[in-house]
Amino acid sequence: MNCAPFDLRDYYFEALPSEQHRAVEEHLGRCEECAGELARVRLTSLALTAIPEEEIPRRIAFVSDKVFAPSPVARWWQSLWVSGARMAAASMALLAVAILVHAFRPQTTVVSSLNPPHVVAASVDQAAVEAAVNRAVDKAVSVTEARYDAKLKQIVAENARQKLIIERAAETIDVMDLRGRAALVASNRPPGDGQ
Amino acid sequence: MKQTAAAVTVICIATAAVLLADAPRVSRFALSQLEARIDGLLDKDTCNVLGNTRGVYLDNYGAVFTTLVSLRTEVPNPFNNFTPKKIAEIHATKLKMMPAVREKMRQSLLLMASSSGLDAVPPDEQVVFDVTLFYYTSWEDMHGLPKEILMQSSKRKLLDVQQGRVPMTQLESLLKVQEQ
Repeated sequence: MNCAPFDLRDYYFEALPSEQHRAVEEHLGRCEECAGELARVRLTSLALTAIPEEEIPRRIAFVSDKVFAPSPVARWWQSLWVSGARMAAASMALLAVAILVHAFRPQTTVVSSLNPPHVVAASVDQAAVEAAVNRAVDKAVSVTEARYDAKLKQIVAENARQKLIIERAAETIDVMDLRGRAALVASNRPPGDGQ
Repeated sequence: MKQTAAAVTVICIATAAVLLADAPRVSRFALSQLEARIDGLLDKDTCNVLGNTRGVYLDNYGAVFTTLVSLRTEVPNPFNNFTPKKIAEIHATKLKMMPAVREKMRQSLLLMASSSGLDAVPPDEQVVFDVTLFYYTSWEDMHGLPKEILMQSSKRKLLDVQQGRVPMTQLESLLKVQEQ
């Protein structure tokens, strides 16, 4: 609400006659409330002018138009999907077809890869196979043992080196401790002793 | 009354005799002063004293002093690799230092013999100085280096040298030295 003598929106859009326009102008100089109202009107106007204008669509379509009508296939699928009885019948028909196909299709032989045919086993010399396997195992074992031996030697050498370092450090610390004790004894001697 | 006084007198004299007989000939105070002087003499130039000198008087034998020292050489960082060359250098340095250590021990013996702290030691009794040398057993080459040096002589002989009746050059011949 404002107390202006005339409508502030008319004043803002310069729709008032000159006398009324002047009267509002004088009133605005005195009334802070009306000046604030005028500022809000100005802000609203500026905000409205910032919105881009969009063209109004010229063609209006109705849901009943044919262009929106579903295709016959879609109508059939929709009717099938929404009907539980039809869906059950279709499922049973599909199951029946699957049973028929399974019953009349040609049989195939499954060969297990874990059990090779006897024909292959009979044609290989068992002793030669064992010898080859033994050789391969021996070779793999020797390679592994050599690798572990090398690793073990490396670990033993490193341990020996670390042990030596620890021993050296311990001896050095012992010497420092002894020196400290000797200095402590010397410093606690009464004056006049010694030199 | 006279008998009682005589008995008390006899008891007092006997007690004093027992106390005097049990008293050490060399006092602990005198020995400690000498110990400090020997430490001061040793802990220079070539030696570090690791175990302070300890002296003891043994009845009818003499004064015995023991100490633990290490020779002053470079000590490598224990966390670095010690090269054989560095170990050999340290060994050679220690070998060169040994004569100086022996000389310090001889000077210490003369100091002990002439010290007023050992005035109570009879001249025929011994003055003994035993030095144990410290080595780094984990890495050091101890070949040719003694672990312990013991020098001893009678107090009289040491005083003869100290007071000039026997030339200093003969001191070594007057000493009994054991190294191991």
